[in-house]
Amino acid sequence: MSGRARSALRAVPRPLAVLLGAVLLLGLCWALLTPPFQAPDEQSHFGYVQSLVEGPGLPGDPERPAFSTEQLRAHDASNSDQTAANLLAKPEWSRDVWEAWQRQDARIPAGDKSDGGGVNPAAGNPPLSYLVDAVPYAAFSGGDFFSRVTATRIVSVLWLLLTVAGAWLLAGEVFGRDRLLQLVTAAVVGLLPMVSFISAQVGPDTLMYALWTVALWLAVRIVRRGLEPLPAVALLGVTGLAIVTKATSYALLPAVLFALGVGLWRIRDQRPRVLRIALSALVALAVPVVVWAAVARLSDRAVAAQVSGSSGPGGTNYRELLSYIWQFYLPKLPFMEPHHGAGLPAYHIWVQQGWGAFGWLEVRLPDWLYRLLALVTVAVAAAAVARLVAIRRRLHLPTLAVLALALAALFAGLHWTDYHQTAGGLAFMQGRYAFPTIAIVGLTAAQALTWIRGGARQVAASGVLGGLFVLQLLSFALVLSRFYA
Amino acid sequence: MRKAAFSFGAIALAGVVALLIVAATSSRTLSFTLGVASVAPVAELRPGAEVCQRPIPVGGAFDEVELHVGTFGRAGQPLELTVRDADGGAELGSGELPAGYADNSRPLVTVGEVPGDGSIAVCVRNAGSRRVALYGGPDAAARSSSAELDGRPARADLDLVFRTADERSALALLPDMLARASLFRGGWIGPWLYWLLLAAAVVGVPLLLWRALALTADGKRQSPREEDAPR
Repeated sequence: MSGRARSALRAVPRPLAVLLGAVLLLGLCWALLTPPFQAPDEQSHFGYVQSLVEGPGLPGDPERPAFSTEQLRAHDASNSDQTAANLLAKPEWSRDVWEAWQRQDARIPAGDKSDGGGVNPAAGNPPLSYLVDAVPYAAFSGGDFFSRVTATRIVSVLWLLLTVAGAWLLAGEVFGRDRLLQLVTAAVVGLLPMVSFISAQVGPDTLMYALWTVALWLAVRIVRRGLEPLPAVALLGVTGLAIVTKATSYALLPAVLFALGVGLWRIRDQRPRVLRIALSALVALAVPVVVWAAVARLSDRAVAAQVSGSSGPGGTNYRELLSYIWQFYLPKLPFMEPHHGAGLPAYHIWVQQGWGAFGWLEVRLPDWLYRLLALVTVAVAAAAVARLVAIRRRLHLPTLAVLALALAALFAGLHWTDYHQTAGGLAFMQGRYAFPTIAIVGLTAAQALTWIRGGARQVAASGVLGGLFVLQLLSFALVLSRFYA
Repeated sequence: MRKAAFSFGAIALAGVVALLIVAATSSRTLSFTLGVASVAPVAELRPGAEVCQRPIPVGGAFDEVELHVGTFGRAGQPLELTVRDADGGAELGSGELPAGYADNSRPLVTVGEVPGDGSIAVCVRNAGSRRVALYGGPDAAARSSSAELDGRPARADLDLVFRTADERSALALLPDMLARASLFRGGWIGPWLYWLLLAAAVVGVPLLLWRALALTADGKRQSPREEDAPR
């Protein structure tokens, strides 16, 4: 290891390094415990990766099958299609079947790996995370199909470590160098079972969470410390990478451009510097986005399929949209047309699917626990908001604005899409869609803790970490029981 | 820090003990399943008709077979169930389901102990005087196995679940569960890795989290080097 790498490693604060060790172990457990393709759309994401590595390239050709022959055989052998979301079906348990499949896969002709690449739910995504996943796929190309799935999952876990480190740094900007509050922020991000579960599967979400978290850290750093060329270029570059990871990341732009604008405004009297920084930052944003746009145009595909497809065919009735949002979070009023099924969507989506609903969301925590977690969520959020009000004179408003803009843009986009999709009879919203802002959830928990002073805060923090650890163990037990008992 | 360490340790330990108690007291009878989701009645059995599903790779010893049966709204008819070796046809077990079970129900048929290896055929014959139907899915549901109705392809797979009469706790099943989890991961992965991960999750992770908490308490006594580090 070079001296520079050694000193970089030594610079990692020790509590963070130890937390990353715990998060890595839990992530590996998730990667190896969840059966292949028993996570939302994982088979489509892996099909995308295989199509990039083995051919024909970017997927989405309507003339081709969605998956390669090899992948379809793997689905059959592991019984993944039957098991998906069906509590009565189990993955294949027979070692004989597994060994027979391995012998068969070892003899599979190369053409059976490259005859996929058709339309699948992931085909409209931009390619960055799949290109990254292509590296472990290619590294294990000599192994069987499932070795490649496992290797790709393990690399996904590494992005979770970046998300946790980003949350730590963000908390460092918000709270100063308060190691306990930084630890709580990062631990909430790294130990929340649903975040761990999603981050240990093949798909673009885990990279997107990491890029959003790093972008939020850089944006807050700029509005607090002032604008320097490198952080500015890094911020816009990371945002560009997030956009070519998942089109959801266009929702980062308001917060990022606000931070850049604040930074530039503060040095407005240094015009050449303003121009130099603004130009280089915008180039950093534009390069990945323009390259992807050019590739997409040349291959006759949507540049941002999720964004362009979010409005649906039915147009927008703004009165209904308001009614939809009301009913998402609050009980329906008598004069409103019903927009959702039974129950409160905010509870089903943000609480149940936010804390933990595994597999294809069919593996659930006990109902009483969800109700308890809902109370915890509301109490922590209320305590954090109350704390913000209590210290309003000391608040750093640009920081608050960056975080609020990120939340508002993401949730506005999600609800806009969900409103149009549900109007068309399609289910869209899932708890994990809020996770790009998971670091803000961590900050909220840490902010709530600031009501408590002295040694009691340490005890409360130990309660947060202990509770999350127990929740992780319970989640593992549920997944083991669901798929293997 | 002592109070915080104690509180973290107490929560973690309480969680582990609670899970162990639940695992030790919950019982399981599932041996393995064909993995077919019931989507519709796929084999209508007129009196005397027989449907066979074969070959079925055996995932573990069993002595009961669970079926998903439809009776067209009337009392269920008696069924005879036979388990045969898929290759040679030798009978490995058999049992009868008495008449009277409910429509759209999942009755169990005791067939005697069938060893947990090889490949089998499961045949169900309607020994009654009115028709019944077995539920299952399309033929692609279990790609290497198919149902035949009176010797002709039924273009479907039956929803069959294989159980043991002896209930086992989830804790006793843990070695089996970890062995099952290690399949379809890659040739270099075996149950040993899952035992390591289990130890890491139950022992290593709480120790690391405890250490992280302790280090934040030591934060006021950081080395000058760490003071210079990024936030």
